[in-house]
Amino acid sequence: MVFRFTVPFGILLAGSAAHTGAAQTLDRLLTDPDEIAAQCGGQASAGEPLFQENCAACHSLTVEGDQSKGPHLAGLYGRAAGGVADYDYVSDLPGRDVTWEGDTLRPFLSGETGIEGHPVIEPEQVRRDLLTYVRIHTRPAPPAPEEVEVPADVLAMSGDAEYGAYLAGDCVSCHNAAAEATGMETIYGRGVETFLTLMYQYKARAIGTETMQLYATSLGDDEMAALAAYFEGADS
Amino acid sequence: MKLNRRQFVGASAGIAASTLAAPSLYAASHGGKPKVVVIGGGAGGATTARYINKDSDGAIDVTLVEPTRTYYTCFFSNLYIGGFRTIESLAHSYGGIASEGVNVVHDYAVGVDRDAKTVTLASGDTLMYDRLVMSPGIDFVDGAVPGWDVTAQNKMPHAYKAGSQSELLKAQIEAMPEGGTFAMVAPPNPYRCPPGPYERISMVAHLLKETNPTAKILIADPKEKFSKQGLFEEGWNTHYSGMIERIGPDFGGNNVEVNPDEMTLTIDGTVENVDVCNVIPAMKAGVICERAGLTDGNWAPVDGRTMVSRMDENVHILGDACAQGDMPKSGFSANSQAKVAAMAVRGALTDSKVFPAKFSNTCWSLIAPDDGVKVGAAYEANEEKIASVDSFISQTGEDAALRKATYEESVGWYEGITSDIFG
Ligand SMILES: Cc1cc2nc3c(=O)[nH]c(=O)nc-3n(C[C@H](O)[C@H](O)[C@H](O)COP(=O)(O)OP(=O)(O)OC[C@H]3O[C@@H](n4cnc5c(N)ncnc54)[C@H](O)[C@@H]3O)c2cc1C
Repeated sequence: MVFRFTVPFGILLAGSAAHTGAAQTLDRLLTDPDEIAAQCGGQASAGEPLFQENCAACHSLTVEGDQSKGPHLAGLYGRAAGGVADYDYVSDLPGRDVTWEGDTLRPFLSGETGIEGHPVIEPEQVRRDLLTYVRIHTRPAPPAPEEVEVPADVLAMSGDAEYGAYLAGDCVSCHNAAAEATGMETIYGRGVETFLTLMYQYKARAIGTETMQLYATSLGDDEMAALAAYFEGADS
Repeated sequence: MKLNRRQFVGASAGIAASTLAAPSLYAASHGGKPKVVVIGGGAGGATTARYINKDSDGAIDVTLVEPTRTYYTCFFSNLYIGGFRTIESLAHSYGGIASEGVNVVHDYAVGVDRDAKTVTLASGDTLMYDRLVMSPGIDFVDGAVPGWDVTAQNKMPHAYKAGSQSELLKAQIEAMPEGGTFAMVAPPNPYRCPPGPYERISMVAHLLKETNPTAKILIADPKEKFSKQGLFEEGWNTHYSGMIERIGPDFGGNNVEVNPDEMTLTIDGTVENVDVCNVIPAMKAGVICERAGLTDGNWAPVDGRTMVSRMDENVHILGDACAQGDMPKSGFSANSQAKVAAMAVRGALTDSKVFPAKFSNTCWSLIAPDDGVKVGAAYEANEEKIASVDSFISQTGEDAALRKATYEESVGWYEGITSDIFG
């Protein structure tokens, strides 16, 4: 793997102003991808290839990943620097009194507070895109399904079934009678509340596969309501 | 009488009181309902034909032009090579679409007269259209791999259009001598199914591991990096250690030549004797797009909001053939784009509503038995392009249960999408 942004080593600036970031007001437990993107000021889709190219060789996004080259990044935002218990740090990170969040990660990645040998990511927007992607994919553990609630105003929306009929095209590519034998559920005739609850659970990552979680995340409330109205009334 | 857009708008305003205004105009133009011709009965074209027909409740006359009677999906054709599917399980007929009311014509479109709004078929017949939809898939760029052209495809198969080519490639691999070499010339970007060549390498490796474990796999690749690279390389190390060698552009993987008679592959001047040579040349839009004058470079540019050609507002182009922005050229993408095209065509020809376009794609790949990975994204269209708004990709180091679930999800997807495409 080629590090496009690699420089031989970063500069250590322990104790700089950026490290006294404990008073940051960032909500470290954000789970909604749109809110995370707004907070980080980047685009996850732009960050994904950056991550693959610059980070994936050493860092896994999940705790199960390979840690032979670098610590995993799961739960990165809000974690203490050097704080992965089962990773053997060689740098001075564990000794720094730093909590990882946007305002501490960006100077780390720019080299300002970096560690020797760690790639430097430039410029600022690239760092933001990268961190948006990383933060979305390392956000805190999802809630239990029963903890997910559909807001009352969304339940009360009257969805546009005609709009739903168009949107449903992408659902029924997989969720149709022919695929039922493989375990793919058909969703025609689902009640509005059941449908919306499932969508909210996917969006919160409380259930389902990444395919469904991404799809639910891409839907606004009006779109979910439109789909719910369509599927409730459709029988095939 | 030729009916252009300006006349159409003016005329329907004049008789706005009648809700049948639009259809009656077509009746006036050429006796009957508005006519849609769809060129290409693959993932994009067959879906569009079905959806226009189904959702317009017979108000639009839909003709699908497709030369073959049986369509073999490229998707899962690598799994056939690996021994996970039969060739029959990839075959789909047009009986379902025809029985739903689409007029299926088994012929090949040889020309499009965009002024007269007609399509000429190889048989000599012509079809009139009010809207034309084109989803002809890909053809290969002439001279892309020195020494290879389509007349060499029986010696050095591409297997990048499925069916007999897939069977031939599999048979050649099975006939390899013990310890022989399978070579692939990988294509430059952009091409259909970004992870496709590397899923194929995985499936060939699986087959060889079972039947010919000392065989070698050699990839000459003009690209510095490729789709799901970290995942594939992890999988190759785990399952097929020492079997696969990839030569990228830094070592001349972009400077290749083949000799189909001698069965040699020359990489940066070094001649390799190979037993199977899978040449996947650079690709372009199906040639009919070029003949219709709708390409810019190798692809046909479109406005992703409606999949309408940037060069002709009466022609929609989708699937692999179009240049639309961020979506990969995949069957999933073509099927998703088809629904936007169908909605736009219905909106133009009848009074149905048109909503903002939204697209999805997920590409699954099988690396080894029950070891499935995927990459997916959600998209929206703006005036410039179809833009990715969010994405995910499988992670290295995932546990076996998740990988198995991912593979099983892909099997469900295959059953679902082929039924959505072909009825
Ligand atoms: C090895 C491999 C693996 C793949 N795996 C996946 C996968 O796992 N998931 C996925 O989503 N995608 C996958 N794909 C990609 C997928 O097959 C294509 O992206 C998809 O088929 C594109 O649809 P299309 O409608 O553009 O073209 P096609 O499906 O190729 O259909 C084009 C049709 O047009 C017809 N045609 C061409 N010219 C004319 C003409 N002049 N007149 C009339 N008819 C014409 C052809 O006969 C053909 O039937 C894979 C591809 C390959 C090669």
